[in-house]
Amino acid sequence: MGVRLRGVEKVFEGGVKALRAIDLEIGEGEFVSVLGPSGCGKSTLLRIVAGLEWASFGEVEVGERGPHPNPLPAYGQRGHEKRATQVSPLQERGSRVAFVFQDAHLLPWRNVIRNVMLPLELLGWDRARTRAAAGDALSQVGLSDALDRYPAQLSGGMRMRVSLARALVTEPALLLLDEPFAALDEITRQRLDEQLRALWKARAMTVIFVTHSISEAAYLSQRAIVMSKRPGKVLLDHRVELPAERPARLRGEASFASEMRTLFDALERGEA
Amino acid sequence: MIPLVIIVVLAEVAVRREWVASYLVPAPSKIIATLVSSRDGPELFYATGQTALAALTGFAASAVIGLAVAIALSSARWVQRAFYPYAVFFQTVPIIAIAPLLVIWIGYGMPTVIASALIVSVFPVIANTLSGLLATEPALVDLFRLYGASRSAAMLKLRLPFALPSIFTGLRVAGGLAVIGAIAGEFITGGGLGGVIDISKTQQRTDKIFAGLILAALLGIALFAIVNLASWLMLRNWHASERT
Repeated sequence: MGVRLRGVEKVFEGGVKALRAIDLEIGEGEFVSVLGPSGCGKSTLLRIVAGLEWASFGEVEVGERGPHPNPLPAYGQRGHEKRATQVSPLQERGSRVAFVFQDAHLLPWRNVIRNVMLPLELLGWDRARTRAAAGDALSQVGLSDALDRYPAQLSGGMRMRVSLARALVTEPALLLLDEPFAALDEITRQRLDEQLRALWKARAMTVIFVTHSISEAAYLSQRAIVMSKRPGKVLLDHRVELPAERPARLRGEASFASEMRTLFDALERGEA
Repeated sequence: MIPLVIIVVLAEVAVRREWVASYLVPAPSKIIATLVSSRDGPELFYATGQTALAALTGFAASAVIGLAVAIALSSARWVQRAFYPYAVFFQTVPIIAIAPLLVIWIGYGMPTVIASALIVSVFPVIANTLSGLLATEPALVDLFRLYGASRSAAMLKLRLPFALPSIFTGLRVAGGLAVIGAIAGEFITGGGLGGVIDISKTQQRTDKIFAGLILAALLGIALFAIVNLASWLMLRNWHASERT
């Protein structure tokens, strides 16, 4: 599922400008990383693509459906989303776009499999199909033996994998990840990076991966976008020149180091 | 347990040695004798049953009404602004002052006692449930929005379960208050432990008052224990408060 942003800006209530003049075209099946300093608006960008937030100006297109549908309805409590009264075709969208948050954000009262079943439940699938699909998704992230455990009994890495399985269970065409592995230790993080890349290659899905880790961006993506500090704009739109096969040892090679250098330089320019 | 034994023994000794007049503080042995005597015992236990019934009914009503009100209040900011102050009213107005009104409106008898238990115990349920509902993890709300969950699905599958620990906190407080409210109501309408205590007062029967007090306290503890059990059953798998 492709994404096209034209002149997208975001001004928060109270006048804080988070994004300015973002023009971005992401093709179907691409793996794109978005890098930037903390608070540069990269999460906001992702939330706008997901439809969780309005763009103040500009146009957002996700998939076939022309101009972006209205943000998803909020449930009343948060002021700035009150405008979102019009209903968009949620069921269809919901099954096509998935979002992975910075923390796993599982429902603590549900065990692993029922957490992964949740999206399908909300989309109105019947129970048997839901269970089978959730089992599949969990086996893809290597958690088939933890179905009955509760989030409180899992390690941070396992929780994140459950969260990934929950996102994959709807077979999304567009997967959005917001610094998903930032809180994990380096080893776990690299494993999950490899797993994510394998999942992307196995499916025809577009991935937008927000991160502040240069090595993660270089290792994972075909294309890396570097944003400036707030209000964020695109500083560098760079094709990562690394082979399609990326074994772990790639991280030690010169080509990898030079990719990291390019991204680092752009980031530094953004800080200045 | 040890402090309790020390206090009981001290009280017994103090009364027997006549350090304290027995019409002010009855000896613990006297209280027990009253509880099991064939004259006062049945009366006290029957009264306990009445108070228990009224307190439990009032407690159940405040659980149901409190939850419903909190859900309604959580639906939108303006609803909260408009109606929350009236909920606070129940918290601040002294029940002893409303009880006479209740008698005029509802009459003497158990319904008034139940209403009194309800009024005293409903606010903690509303306040705690509301704060639980409003504290729902924003990211989880986003997740539900992303999958197009309806308002009711978000309430049933997200907000209410998320608020459960707070709801139980409210219910724990409400349990004790329901007993207090019932007894306060009984002071005015008669019947139940409140009635027995009120009559014993005019008869200078401190032993019977103490017996009634102990039964009332046990009733409150029993309600508290029931709520704790329910809380443990529902939260043990996932909430830090119920894990050991």
